[in-house]
Amino acid sequence: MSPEHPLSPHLQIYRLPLAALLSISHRIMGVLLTAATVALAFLIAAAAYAPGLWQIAMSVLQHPLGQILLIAWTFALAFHLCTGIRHLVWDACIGLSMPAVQASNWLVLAGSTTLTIAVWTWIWA
Amino acid sequence: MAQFTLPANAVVRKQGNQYAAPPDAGEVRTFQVYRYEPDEGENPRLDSYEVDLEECGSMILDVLIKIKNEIDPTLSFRRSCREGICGSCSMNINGRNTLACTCGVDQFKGDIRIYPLPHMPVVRDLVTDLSGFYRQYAAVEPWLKNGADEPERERLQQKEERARLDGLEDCILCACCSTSCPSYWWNPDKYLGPAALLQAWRWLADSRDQATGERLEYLADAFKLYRCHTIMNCTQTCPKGLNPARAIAEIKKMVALSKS
Repeated sequence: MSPEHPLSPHLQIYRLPLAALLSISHRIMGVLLTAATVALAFLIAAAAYAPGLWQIAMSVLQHPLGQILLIAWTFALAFHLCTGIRHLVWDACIGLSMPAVQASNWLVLAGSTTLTIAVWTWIWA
Repeated sequence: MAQFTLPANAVVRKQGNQYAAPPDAGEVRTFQVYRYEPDEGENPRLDSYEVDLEECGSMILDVLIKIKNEIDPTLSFRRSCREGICGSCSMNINGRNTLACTCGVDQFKGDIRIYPLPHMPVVRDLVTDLSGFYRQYAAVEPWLKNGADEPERERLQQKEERARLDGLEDCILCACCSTSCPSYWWNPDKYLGPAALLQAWRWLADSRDQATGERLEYLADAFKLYRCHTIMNCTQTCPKGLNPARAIAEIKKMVALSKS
C-alpha cells in the first residue's frame, strides 16, 4: 500500500450490522471465558483444598459482586455456545441468506438469555 | 497485527469548508463529504454542502453531480452508468457501503455522511486505489479452464447447471463487499476478500470448468480463504443482493469434503 495515500476511515465510520457485533462479541467472550474459567477452576480447587480456603471461596461466590460475575460467566458461556452452534450450521452452508441471518441473530440472543435465566432460576430455586 | 486507528496522515480533520444553500432554497439537506486533495499536503477533511433537494434528483449520485456541477467543481468521484450496473460509484454512505446511484436520499433522515470505500488508499476525495482489489480478482484466474480440445460448438449445460451460476456471475466488482469486511481491513494483502472469493466460487461451481483441484489447492490457505469468519458484512452490504458469504462457505465446504 502506498504510504503517501491516506487510508480511508474504516472502524471509525462503518455502521456495524448486528451480525457483525455478535461476531466480535463471540470472539471477545471466547477470550474472557477462557480467563474466567481458569479463575473459576482455581477458586473451586482452592475451596476443595482446605476449610479456610473453602470459607473464602464461598464468601467470594456468595457476595453480590461474585454472583453478578457468575451470572455474566453463565451468559458468556451460553452466548458462546449459541453463536458457536450457529457457526457450525453456517459451515454446513445452511442459514446464510440475509433473512435467515437476521432471524438467527435474535435467536442467538434469545437463546443465550433464556439459558442464563433457566440456569439461575434452577440455582436459586 | 491489525491497526484499529488511522495513520497520522489519514486522520480526518472534522471541519472543512462549508457551503450554505441559497436563501430561496426549498428542502435543504446537509451532506458531509470526505475530501482529500493530494497536492495540498494536508490531512483529509469533511466538507459540508447544503443542497436544495427540490432542485435535485432523488439519488445520492444526483446530489454528488449537483455539488460538482453547481457548488464545488473540485469534488472528485467515480461514476458512469447511473443505474447500478457498472459498479463505479461505490462508496460509504451513512456508514454502509453501497452504490451512490441506487441509493435514494429519502431513506435517510438528517445529515448524510459520504466517505470513500473503507480502509483503502485514497487517491483523491471519494476515489480509492482499487489495484490491490483487481489483483485479487486476477489471482483467482476468473476464466474457464477446460483441458479438453476446443469443441466444435459451445459447451452445453443442463438448466440446473446453469442455474448454479445465478447470483455469482452478476457481480459488478464494485468492491462494496470486500471493503466492508473487517477481516479484509486487517489483511488486505493476504486475504482475498469476499468479491474475489465469490468469483473463485463462480468458476468452481461451473460444470464446464475442469480445474477444481488446482483452484482449491490455491485457495485452501489460512489467509487467502480462511480469514473469512462469517461476519456477514459482505452479504449485508452487497448493492446487487448477492451472497459472497455463502459462496465462501461453499468453497470451505468443498475443501473440507475434498480432503475426506
